[in-house]
Amino acid sequence: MRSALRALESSFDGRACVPAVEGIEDARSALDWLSRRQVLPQPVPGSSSGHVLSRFAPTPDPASKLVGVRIVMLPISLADALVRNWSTQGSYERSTHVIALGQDALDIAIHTQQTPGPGSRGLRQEATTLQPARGDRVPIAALMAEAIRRSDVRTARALLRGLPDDDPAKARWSRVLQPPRATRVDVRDRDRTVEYRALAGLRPRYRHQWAAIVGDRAIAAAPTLAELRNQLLEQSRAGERPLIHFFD
Amino acid sequence: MAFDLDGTVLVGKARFLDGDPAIASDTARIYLKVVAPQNDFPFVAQFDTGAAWTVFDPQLTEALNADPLDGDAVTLSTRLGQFTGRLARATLRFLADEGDSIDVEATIFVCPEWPTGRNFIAYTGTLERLRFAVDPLENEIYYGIIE
Repeated sequence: MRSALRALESSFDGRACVPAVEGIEDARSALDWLSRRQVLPQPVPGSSSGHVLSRFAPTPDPASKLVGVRIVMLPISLADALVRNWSTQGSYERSTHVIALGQDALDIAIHTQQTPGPGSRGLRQEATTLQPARGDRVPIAALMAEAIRRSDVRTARALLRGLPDDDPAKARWSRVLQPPRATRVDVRDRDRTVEYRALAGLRPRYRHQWAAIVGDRAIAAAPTLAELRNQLLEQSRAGERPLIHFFD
Repeated sequence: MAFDLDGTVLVGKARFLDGDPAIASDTARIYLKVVAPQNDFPFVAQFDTGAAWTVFDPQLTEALNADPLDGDAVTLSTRLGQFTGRLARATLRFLADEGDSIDVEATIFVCPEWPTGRNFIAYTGTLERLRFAVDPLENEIYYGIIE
């Protein structure tokens, strides 16, 4: 048995987290070991189960080396969010229980359970009780940053909920990931149909310029928005509330 | 103005532009009229539910006083190319011609290299807390808030 796996066996706390293991093969062994210990939910009758070990490379690089695999258990809500966006073949249910990932978040191993249908509710409940051990460095932040980088906001929001409150990344990303806030304001603009119709006709004359349009005329034009604003202010025409448009 | 439809309250409506004269295309697009609340000059931005983030021309973004957030750079892949920028919170006003306008504190993508004059309003981070309905016969969009 590899030394990493021996370390895993000796230090496993029986709850959730295990030490990092090196290499994808060790990750596979570790997952198998966890399965045998019944830490992982067992397959339900009539279903198949398996470990999906897959390279998770934000910038696919065949030369990238696996520097380590860390196995953590996440609340099912987080694992769900990840696997929902995971490119899987077939009908893997959202019953992912283990995620192992490299310290640089380049590699992820996911244990999934293929079930015949939504009858895996019991499994889900079991998994929900599994939480990352306190004090262990769960690299949710790295996963979240990666989700944000690829504009996967749904996953990023789910992961954000799993970050400990004292994690600096939580404060940093909470604001950006929070849903927009809409408020009603007692303000109206005028109908701009005339301006909209005028745009096509004005384009040849004002190409590559910013223009301020009132009705069917451009009352000012400039190569930059700042210059356009200055013109409008100097001419005291800002009050006319022109539509601003850049003619490409 | 208030239209009560199964509890949905629409508070305002505005005419939209249904095609950008700068783009040679037969495909209709919806351009909405928006403005930075602290700035009186409205501009149009394409209503694009497929866009990853709302993004505006860099000069317009500056006018929005966007508050760039610390954090990792974000890459936006678009048909205009790949752009690296940061996410920021900013308030946009969706202007109504009738009824009330709506201010949305949104997450937008800020990128100094973004092409001039290209403005997109995305679902994620901006429209996802708005109710809206489109009347294609009249080129009108109705806005509502989730109360």
